[in-house]
Amino acid sequence: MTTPDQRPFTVEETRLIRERQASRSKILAVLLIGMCVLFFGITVAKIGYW
Amino acid sequence: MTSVTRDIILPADWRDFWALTKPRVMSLVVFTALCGLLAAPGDIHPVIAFTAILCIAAGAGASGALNQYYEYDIDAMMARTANRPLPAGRMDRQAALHFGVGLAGFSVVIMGMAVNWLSAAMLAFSIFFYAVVYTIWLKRFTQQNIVIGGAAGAFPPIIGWAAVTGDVTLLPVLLFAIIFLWTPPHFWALALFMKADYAAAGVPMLPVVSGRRATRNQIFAYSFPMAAAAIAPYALGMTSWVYGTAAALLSIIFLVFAFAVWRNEATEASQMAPEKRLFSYSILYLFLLFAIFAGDRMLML
Repeated sequence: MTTPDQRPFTVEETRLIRERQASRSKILAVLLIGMCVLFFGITVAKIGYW
Repeated sequence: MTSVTRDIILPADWRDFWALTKPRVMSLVVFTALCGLLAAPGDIHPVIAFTAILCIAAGAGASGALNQYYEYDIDAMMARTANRPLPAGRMDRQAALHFGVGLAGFSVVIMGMAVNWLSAAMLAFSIFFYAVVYTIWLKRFTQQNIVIGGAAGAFPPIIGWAAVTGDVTLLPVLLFAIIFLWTPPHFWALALFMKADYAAAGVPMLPVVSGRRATRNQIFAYSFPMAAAAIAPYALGMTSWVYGTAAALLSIIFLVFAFAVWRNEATEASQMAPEKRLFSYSILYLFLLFAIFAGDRMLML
């Protein structure tokens, strides 16, 4: 069994993780906005406003 | 997940989640579902129609993700699939499972609430059929895996139809039959020239278990009921002569290519030009057949 590496992240490692997190966050934001627009559209279509 | 300079686990990239949905398969699913939706009699609000197609796409993506979650071991053994996110080690299996289940739940619930519960039930059943019946029960255990499993890919036009009408009649069942009968020749043509890959992974595809001759016989045999199913909508008076003529011509070409496969005795993939040609043409065949069908029905309605 190997012991986990407890050393703190290097600057390069931290940058890579932050970049990946930021990329995923942007996609999630776009998807959430898209879902809001979709639900709004469905609601308006269902109540027969359009 | 990706190792950096030591055991640092990076969160999976969004592109890997996208790859998990099998975008190319999803595009054919979306296309056939759209054709079913456009061919159905009755009106549907454009926003609801868009939602229905989105849910069908998400359901297909969920099926692909759950399939890759379960098949990560055999994907790693085949050159064609070794670079997928899970076998390549770019993603944690648990993330793939959560993504697949979440996407499946989302697609079915939104479909039910926004469109109708019949189409939602069929979407749920098709996801279950692909992820469980085909992936877990059939694929590793029987040479008939893609014959029965083909039903999962045949559901989208029925779901698209049901999204508009709220019911299922003979015509969408015929669309189901076309894709169901098209699936074996399509996948067996691929399996013939990818036999070594499937054998290495221990997947009991027909060429691996019963040999190339039996597979070529089956491809040719399946092409006839497939052609009959393709022409049936016209023969039963549900389309105009435009679709009938196109279906007949496209099916004759399919039969000619299937005949060339039947006559071929090659054992090396490099000599399997007829098989590769049939595989490529089968995709074009389904695309053109459904496009002309939808166009024909829209002009008739």
